[in-house]
Amino acid sequence: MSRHERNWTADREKDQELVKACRKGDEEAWVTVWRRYGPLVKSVARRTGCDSEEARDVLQRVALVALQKLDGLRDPKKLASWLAGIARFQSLEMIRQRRPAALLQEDSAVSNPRYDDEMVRAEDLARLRQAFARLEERCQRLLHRLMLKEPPDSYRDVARDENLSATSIGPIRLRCMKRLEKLIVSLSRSDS
Amino acid sequence: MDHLTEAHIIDLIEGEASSEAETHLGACSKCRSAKRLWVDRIEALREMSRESVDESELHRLRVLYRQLGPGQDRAPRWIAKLVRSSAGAPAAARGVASGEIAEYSGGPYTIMLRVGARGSRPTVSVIGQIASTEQDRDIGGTFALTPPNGRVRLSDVDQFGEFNLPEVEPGSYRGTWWFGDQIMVVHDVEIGTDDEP
Repeated sequence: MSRHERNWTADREKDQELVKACRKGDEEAWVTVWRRYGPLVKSVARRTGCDSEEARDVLQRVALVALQKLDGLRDPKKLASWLAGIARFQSLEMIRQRRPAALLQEDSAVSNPRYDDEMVRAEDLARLRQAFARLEERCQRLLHRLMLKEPPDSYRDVARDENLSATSIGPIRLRCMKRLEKLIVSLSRSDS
Repeated sequence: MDHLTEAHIIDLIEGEASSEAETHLGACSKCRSAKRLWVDRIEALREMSRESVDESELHRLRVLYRQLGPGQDRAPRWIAKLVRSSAGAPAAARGVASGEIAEYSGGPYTIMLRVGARGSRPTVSVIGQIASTEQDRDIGGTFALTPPNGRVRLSDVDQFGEFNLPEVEPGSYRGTWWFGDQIMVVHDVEIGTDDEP
């Protein structure tokens, strides 16, 4: 088993522990679940076509369903994917209930075939989130500052803060992205 | 030119690619697909980094767990009981007048449920209304029907206490109404078929 595989396995074992604790009545474990996966749930809701307010409601709905169905979760290591799947279903339900059918048909966020695309499937989002969380802290910082932040920070600023030369930032970022890719592949293999 | 490397793809995403890489991309579907995958990943991560769960949301989730979680008997909640079930019950649910109405009562609230006509068989529509015996109590939140197995059905409860659950399969459910710090549980809700012509 590679070091990366050991990392994500550890991450999933933490999820397993969290689920076990939640089943026993540990309130802090429950809150940790939502600190960890609440943003994922909201992100799934937004990608499914919910607005910001609806995404907040979807989070509460997913929590209610998760609490009532937690004992039925067969593989607690797949908590993230499970929550993402519930989030997608509840998001679609919410959109159906709140918006007239005519509007729904025209809603590109729901009818767009892109939402059936492999990348945007809820489980893929969960894997992506888990893979990113398993990156070394420096990689997370670099990728966040250079690629996720809007607007991104300059190479010069990142190099200064990380105590690196500006010319090394590009290669390090590339290594971080390759690590992310490996983690995603490992998670996908495990799920399949 | 060989297929683009990840370094090339990053350059392309940032608009700093060589003309050779641009030309290759135009002719190579595999590299276009690789680039699209990274663009999607970056966008997805960007979206996730924008989303957060604030303390008020966490508080609501904590309350939910205290009241419905395992071994949480210390938390206050109402267990509603069936008090009436007949076609002659008060038609309190606005806009509906037919079908049997089951009325449940717990604490200062009542929940009325009726099977409506708007389901697509074999499913039915469940229409409900929550009312308070105390005038100053707000109504809202979420109502859920949970089967022993299968999908949980949820609906928002509006300010008039009304909610509607389309496409519910007939069967046994647990009903849960959750509004702020208040939870009401109805243990045995039997949803029958639509009896309208």
